[in-house]
Amino acid sequence: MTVKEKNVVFFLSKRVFRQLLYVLMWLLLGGIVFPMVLSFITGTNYNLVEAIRNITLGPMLYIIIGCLALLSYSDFKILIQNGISRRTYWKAKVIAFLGISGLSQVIGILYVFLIRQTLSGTGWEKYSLFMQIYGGFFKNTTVAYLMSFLFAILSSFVFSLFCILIGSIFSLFTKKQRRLIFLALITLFVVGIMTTADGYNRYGFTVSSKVINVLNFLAGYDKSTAGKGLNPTMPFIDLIIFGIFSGICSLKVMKHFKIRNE
Amino acid sequence: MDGIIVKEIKKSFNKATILKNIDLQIKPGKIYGLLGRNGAGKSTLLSIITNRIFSDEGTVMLDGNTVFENDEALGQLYLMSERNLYSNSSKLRQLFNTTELLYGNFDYNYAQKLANMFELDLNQKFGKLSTGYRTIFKLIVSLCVPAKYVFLDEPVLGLDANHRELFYRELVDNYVKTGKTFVISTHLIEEVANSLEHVFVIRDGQIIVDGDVDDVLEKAYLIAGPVKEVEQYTAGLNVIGQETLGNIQGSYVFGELDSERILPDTVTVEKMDLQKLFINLTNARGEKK
Repeated sequence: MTVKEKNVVFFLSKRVFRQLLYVLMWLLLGGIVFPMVLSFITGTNYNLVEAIRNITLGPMLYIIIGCLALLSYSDFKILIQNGISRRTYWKAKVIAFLGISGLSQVIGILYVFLIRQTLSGTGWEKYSLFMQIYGGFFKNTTVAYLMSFLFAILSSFVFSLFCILIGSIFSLFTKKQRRLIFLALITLFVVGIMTTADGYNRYGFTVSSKVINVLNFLAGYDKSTAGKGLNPTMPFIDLIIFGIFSGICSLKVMKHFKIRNE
Repeated sequence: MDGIIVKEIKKSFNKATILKNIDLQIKPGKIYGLLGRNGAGKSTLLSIITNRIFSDEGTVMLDGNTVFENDEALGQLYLMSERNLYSNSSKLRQLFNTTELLYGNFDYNYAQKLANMFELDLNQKFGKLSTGYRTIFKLIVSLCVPAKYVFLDEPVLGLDANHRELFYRELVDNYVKTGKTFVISTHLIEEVANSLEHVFVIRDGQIIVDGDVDDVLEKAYLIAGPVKEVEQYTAGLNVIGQETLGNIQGSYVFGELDSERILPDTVTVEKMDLQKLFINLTNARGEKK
């Protein structure tokens, strides 16, 4: 990595951290402080321990960081003003978000264990979707835990990459166009669901066995191991392929970024 | 050191052709003027040179290397444009720090000195500044950034006369001290004319004049006198504009005069200034009658 690339990574990481702290501060205010103050005012019972125990930090950070990865154009503007190429911006953004999302998941995992130890919070087995779906495959609990940690981190990487891709696609459009696309997508989604539901009620169609087979394959379902949990190798492979695809596509899209009249 | 070589640049937006086969060279250590009327393609050309937008055809090279997606080359270019690419929520000092981080060697002392001169409070947020002070802030950055080539697109937008004068003084001072190359794109020619060494005039997406200011003005004349004599004297010459008042006519000629031709006593030949030359070159012929 060149000095310039390192500086861009530092610049973007700092910005994302600042935005992340800002969002977390509001969540803390809205999720803990505000209900606490409200309970003082109304005289209702408020359980702070319960509130802390219920915080799902990992998934929360997962979503927030994904949302922050959607924002591309404002960073691009300031970087292009400062003589940074689109490729360097992409590279730095990917590195920054991989680092931040990985770190956030490590913090999320540690938080689960810390809360379990101190406040009798939910165990990792119930907390982790991976453990619930694929945990039965492993005979060794430590290996299952390690794999689920890895999965949590890898999935956060891929989610961030996917969000970078979506954000970069939206950055190609003007604010007005983005609003119209957003409205069109919501309309399409609602109409699509209604049409599907209506079609199902009228004709009672079933999903093709080919589609089910593909989904089973992607999920790691194997008839021979049925009942013992799904094969956990496939979701890792799926994630890696999807992550690479998202990364390459976002680079291709970002290479078309240009300054707009807004 | 070749400097910047722009070769066969073409650019269209939708169906409108903005730049048609632009060729030019920007050598290091000079102050250039890129002159053209509104919509002539000046900003588009500067945006292409600095990789902000893409050309449809052609190349931009800096010392033999393409500028396209080249961090090293882009780090030597700085474009100050009327578009605000800085974050509105950032304080001016933070933006200096960002410039330092990404360009390196930002001259903080000089920036502070200029901020004091222009009475700009650096603790303000960029979004809170007026149009004039946004321009001032961007001018300060462009004078303090270590880029070798600084492009100033309409640099005095929104500035009052005092600030404009201050800026031109600092520009020349900065040029003498650092030897940077400045390319100033403007249509306010009179104010900047004395600072320019080389000029590009762009009209309808094409470079129609490319030369050192002295050489260009050497070939720019105002031939004045009675209509008949002036028309006789200027017949066959490159008359780029005319002004008529009663029986007196002034014809603007760009190009060599015919030394064989005898100048009538009633006709005078004067030099044209850059602004007059620009106006006549970029006006449709005869528009000024």
